[in-house]
Amino acid sequence: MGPVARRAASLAAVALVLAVAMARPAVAVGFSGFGAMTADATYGQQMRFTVKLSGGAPDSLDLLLRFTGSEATEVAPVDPGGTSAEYVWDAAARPLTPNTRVTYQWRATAGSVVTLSPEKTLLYDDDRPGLDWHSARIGDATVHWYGGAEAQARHFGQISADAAAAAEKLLGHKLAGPLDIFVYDTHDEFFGALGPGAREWTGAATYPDLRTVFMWLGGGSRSYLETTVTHEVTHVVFHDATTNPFHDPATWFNEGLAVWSEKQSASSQADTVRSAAGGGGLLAFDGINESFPIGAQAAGLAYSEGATMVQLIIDSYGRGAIAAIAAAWRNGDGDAEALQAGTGVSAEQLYADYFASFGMPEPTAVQPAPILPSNVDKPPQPAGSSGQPAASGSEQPSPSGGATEPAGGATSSIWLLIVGAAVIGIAVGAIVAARRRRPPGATA
Amino acid sequence: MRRLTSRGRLSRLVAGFAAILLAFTSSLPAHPAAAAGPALRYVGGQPATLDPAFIDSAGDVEFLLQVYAGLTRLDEEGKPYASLAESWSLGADGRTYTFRMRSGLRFSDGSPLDATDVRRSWLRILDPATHSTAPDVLAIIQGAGERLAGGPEDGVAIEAPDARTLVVTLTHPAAYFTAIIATPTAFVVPRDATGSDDSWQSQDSFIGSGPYIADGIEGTDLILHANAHYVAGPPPINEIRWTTDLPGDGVTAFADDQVDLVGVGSNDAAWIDYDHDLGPALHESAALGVQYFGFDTTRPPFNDARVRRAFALALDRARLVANAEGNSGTPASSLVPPALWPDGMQDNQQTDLVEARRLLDEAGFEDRSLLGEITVNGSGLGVSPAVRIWEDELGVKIAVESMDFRDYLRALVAKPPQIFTINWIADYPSPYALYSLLLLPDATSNYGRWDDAEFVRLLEAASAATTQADQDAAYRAVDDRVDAEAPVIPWSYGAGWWLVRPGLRGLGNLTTGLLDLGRVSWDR
Repeated sequence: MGPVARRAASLAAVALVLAVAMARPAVAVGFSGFGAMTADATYGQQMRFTVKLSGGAPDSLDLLLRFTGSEATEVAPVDPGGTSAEYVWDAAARPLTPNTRVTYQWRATAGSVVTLSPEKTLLYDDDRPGLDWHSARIGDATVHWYGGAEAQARHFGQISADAAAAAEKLLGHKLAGPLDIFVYDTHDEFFGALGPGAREWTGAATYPDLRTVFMWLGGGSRSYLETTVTHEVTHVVFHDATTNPFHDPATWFNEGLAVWSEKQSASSQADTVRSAAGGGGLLAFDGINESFPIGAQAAGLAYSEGATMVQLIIDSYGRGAIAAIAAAWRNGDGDAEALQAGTGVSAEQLYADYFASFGMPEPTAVQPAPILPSNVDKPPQPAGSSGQPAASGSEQPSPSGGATEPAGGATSSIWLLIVGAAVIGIAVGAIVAARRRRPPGATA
Repeated sequence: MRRLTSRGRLSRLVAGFAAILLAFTSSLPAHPAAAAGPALRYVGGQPATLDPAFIDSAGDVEFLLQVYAGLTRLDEEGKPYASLAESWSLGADGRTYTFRMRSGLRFSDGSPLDATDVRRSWLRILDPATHSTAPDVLAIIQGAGERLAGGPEDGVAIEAPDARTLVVTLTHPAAYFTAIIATPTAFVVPRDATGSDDSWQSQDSFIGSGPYIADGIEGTDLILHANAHYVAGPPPINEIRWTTDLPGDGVTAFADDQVDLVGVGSNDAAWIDYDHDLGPALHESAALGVQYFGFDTTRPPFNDARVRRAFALALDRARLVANAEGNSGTPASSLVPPALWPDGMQDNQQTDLVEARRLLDEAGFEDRSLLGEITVNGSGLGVSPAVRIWEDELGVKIAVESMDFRDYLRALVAKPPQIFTINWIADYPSPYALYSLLLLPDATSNYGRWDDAEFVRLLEAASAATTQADQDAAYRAVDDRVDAEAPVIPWSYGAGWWLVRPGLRGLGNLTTGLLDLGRVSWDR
């Protein structure tokens, strides 16, 4: 090594020492790592996360939260002051569905050094007072109950296994993992689990992302509840068979398939549709792609139309069409594309055939009633006041207060002229009358 | 002294009446419409503030529009009209506005309101100590940018030489200035509006300048009553019940006759559109909003326009948006929604995966791992479709994050994610409202800190254009520049739906930011 090279090496060594010396204080003087981590949750109220900060506070601190079924990581900035930190998730303001698994991890930044804590998991479960949960694993399902509902819950578990197998066969896709079924006793406890926005006619609900079904024992008769388990489990299989980042499959198909699966038939739903057709009103499928109507009767019709459409597809194009439609959705197709991929006919044709089978024309959209223009006057508007003349076609009608006068303003001006003329007329009349009444000899 | 003849006295009296009438018509409101009809029950949501200095959301804009007034105001079609100003003129330099205030103006408590109040209100917005959330709206005033950066107040070109005159000089000609000052940030606040928070104002002792005054809370309803001192006279509907929270959903509340005006989601609008009972009450509002992806242009790899352009070219928005958003949005090709497009502007959204990959290669990222893991924050829109395309078609690795919205807004200013997402509604109906506030180098809401001299030059030219044809051509050039440099990727134009109780009139096209309940009445 020649002198130049040695000098370069020395400089490099000095630079390395300096770099280490410069880098170290940011880490060593303050934050040096994570200590103990804790997390707890109270349903409907909060989740609370704490961590010890060894060596003091970092420059910035985040809590990273990942929820079951979500691709995104929720980043919560946390005050990094002191030797510990805490973050509280306000579950009253930001509700979460029970049975959500929350993976949490702390991220500290000190200088240019980013340190991640180990990942841990918290189960956000429904721990409301009085809900003394018990569980049992039955096939792919774990059933959960409290009070005296064990027998019913176990029965639901058995039904779910059969339902999953049937749905897997129809959709050509396997259940992606185990699922949980929670059985609630009362209306308030059940709706308390569903959170705000649940519609009153709801008797059971499935959260496919969480692979969780919520049942309400008061939602109907024993046979109704049994078919409901089949219905909800079918939703989970359908989710697994169609999930994709591009498009949510049509709700009418999802619900229709679940209803059809209850009895592997839609004969009773066909009666409902025929009755509604006789009453003059069926729902357009384009109208129930996303949500169903709020009324129980109209919502019931939506379920029935979905089920009978599934029946029509099976009858006309075979069971394989259902799996082909699901596969198209899984690949990111839209509704019309998926229906055509499965049946070979366009969605428009499918819809037309469906309504024709009930002797009905296709429903058409209702025209909105017109909203009349304002009849409230603006304050008097300037007309041709000073300033530069309006540039022809400029962005604003005029740079000189020349906002165009709408009909209401013109009406105002006419009204003012009429009132003005009346006032002047009254004044003249009053003066003339006064003159006529003035006693002789009076002076001005 | 010459004796006044009866004829001469009559003439003077008539002239006097005429003069009084003329003064009345030119300074005070037109005839106050008679208060009529029941209270209007509007599901407006909880406003975050009662102070125009601290607007946080479109919901705040909606509320503040009802309780404050400015020199101008936007009508239902988005056109500005004279409100507190009686008239205005534009100087020969094209950038000095002289406003003549109406006489006899008053705040809602009866105290006088004049040009000095406008000046004081605007200077408060521009005072850096106020920490106003949207001071950029007034940054076009000469000296405002310097003031916001800590410069002197007397350097701001807003003068009130007398109680009825306000003189404002802009940094450059701007034909849309009368639309800017029709937005709530520029509205007039009472004299006790001071400090860096909104604690001076309250729901129970409210003093405002708009068609309504806040007048207490009943349950979850904010109660608004007609302002007898409003410049246009008290509005015909005497009471607004501004519902901040509904126990159930808005559609059910409307169907049960609990509310008269409520926004509904696109999912419900789809079936309501065919519903014979509710369908006639369903109305779609004109979109003045845009959802877009933005890039942090200050750091690699998105400080390179080729990389940004590659990410933009990869997205077939026509297909992706249609499939992802249904009827809640339409694919966007520009930051400017179609309702504000200049003549001749077209949907020029391009998809070219081959070119996208080539641009990444050319930018030195043939080995995609050199891009590192790209962070996309999805707090502003659903990012799953775009992320999957970027991963699958460009071969990049993506981490998706989200944040509580208030945390997100702070993060956007302090250290924006590499790719961020925003849903933005134009403050006023002009292309300038979006280009300037979102992309000018000094704009607070230019979160990606894009700094492009050619864009600035083109936008200034568009701003100063005096003919419609020149403006249209200039804004098309601006849009072409944004498209080529891709500091943002416009994603979708949001659609909105409302249920409107039959008999309500004056709602225009229900555009967010233009809903002036002072011009609404019951058609009886």
